[in-house]
Amino acid sequence: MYHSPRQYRIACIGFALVVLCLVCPTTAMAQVSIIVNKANSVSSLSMGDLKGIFTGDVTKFSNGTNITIVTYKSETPTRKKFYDALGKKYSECQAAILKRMMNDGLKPPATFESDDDVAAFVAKTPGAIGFVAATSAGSAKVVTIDGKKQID
Amino acid sequence: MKYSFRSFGLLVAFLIFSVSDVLAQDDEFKLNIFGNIATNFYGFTKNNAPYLSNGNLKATFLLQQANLYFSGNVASDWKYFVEFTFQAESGPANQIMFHAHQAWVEYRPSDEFGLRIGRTLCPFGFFNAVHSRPALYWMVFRPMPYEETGLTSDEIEGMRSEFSNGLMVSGALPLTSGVKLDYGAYVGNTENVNGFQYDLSSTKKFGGRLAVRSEYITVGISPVFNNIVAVDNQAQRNSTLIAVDGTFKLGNFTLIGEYVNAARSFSALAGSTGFNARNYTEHTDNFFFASLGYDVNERWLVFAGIESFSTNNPSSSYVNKAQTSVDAGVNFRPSDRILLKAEISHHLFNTATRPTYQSLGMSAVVSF
Repeated sequence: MYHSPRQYRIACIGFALVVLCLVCPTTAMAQVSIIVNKANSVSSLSMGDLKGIFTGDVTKFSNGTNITIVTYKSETPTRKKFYDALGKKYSECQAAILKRMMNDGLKPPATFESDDDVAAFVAKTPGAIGFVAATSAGSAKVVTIDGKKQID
Repeated sequence: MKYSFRSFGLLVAFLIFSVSDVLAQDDEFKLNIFGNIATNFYGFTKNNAPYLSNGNLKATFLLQQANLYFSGNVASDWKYFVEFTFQAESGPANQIMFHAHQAWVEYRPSDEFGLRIGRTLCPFGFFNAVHSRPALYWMVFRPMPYEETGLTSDEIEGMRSEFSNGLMVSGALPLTSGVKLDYGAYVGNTENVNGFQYDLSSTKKFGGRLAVRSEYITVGISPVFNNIVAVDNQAQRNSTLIAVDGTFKLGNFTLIGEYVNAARSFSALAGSTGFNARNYTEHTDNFFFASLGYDVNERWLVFAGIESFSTNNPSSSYVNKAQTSVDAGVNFRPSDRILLKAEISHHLFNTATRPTYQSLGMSAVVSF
């Protein structure tokens, strides 16, 4: 099929480039949505609000609903993406939450293994707020962060 | 020594493999149970640590500890919290202690205001907020006033505010975008210092803390006034504490620090006889600590710090001589719920009864 090693190399490089073009946009575009329960009247938050919530500093939504933080039991691409967007280390946020749990009775975050589990829990729990891959919001309500439906 | 290290390793392994998620949590968050277990190994050079007798190096599991917490929402704006601490202390003390550290209910309609009733940890300086929760601080040996292993002098205990049984209001008020004012004020009884010598039921405590806080900087001030009547009904002691604390974050660096000034005054109670002024000397104590941590990555942190205590109490063997310690150490988090710590310290006490010595501490903390 190939007349020379050079043609073979060119074909391999071309194939690799095609694969990269198919894979890389998917990876780069994987965005995170912030979700709340549908009964929650809150529809927009700022990035500052989000930092406050996921460090345990803010415990109630503006409508007075008690917040339940929902996150992941272990490092997932969604978790990494979320905390990168937040500009904070996961361990830093966990330490802040732990301090609030031990001093102020903050309820421990609910933790799950997958995006689907997070979305399902948020969908059934008033006051819950979590983050999932943008394609996994399910029946939960997506809130905007600084006017955007997804953060990246 | 060899067996101590082996036992320590086995304990760490046990803790690592027994780790689980939050212990219990119901669907409506009316009951959450969580906690942590810590095992601490300490080694000392020379014969200067007060617990340890002659020898070039003494090592022991000086303190094992478990903290257990129960919390929940009983109604939308009402919550409760109970904290138990179990401590097993080896050495000459060789005792097991059980404390109900906190037990309160709180009405909190918003993050800006809450009213708490019960036994609560006082908002005082930086370290009282993390207190004896080893998952919350990076050092193995806590700063001198907070270390309960008898490694430091007795006079130092009065530098901390600890607990209050009474009422507290607290909240966080937004000042400008990203800046908040934390406030807390409390009134109640206190156990405070030298609990064997004072009538706890007659003590009074008033205090609070104000702090301006942003994402990267927190600066706070905490005044406290204690009035304590001695059990012999001969004297009352007033103690006024002021703490100034700060937390500064810059990139991967975090600097924490605290300065505490304690002024004690004593007076004979009306009708008392035999008031012994020698045992009730007015004096002022000063303490500060600063510690700098550097997050190498999500798993590793290194730190170094300094702390110093001084008093002008003429009845103290340390009068007008600063007790200073410097330390350095490392933290490693093999998983989200496990924290391993190691620390070396150089204690420049330099008095006749306690010359300079070094110590090594290692700690394993598992949260569940």
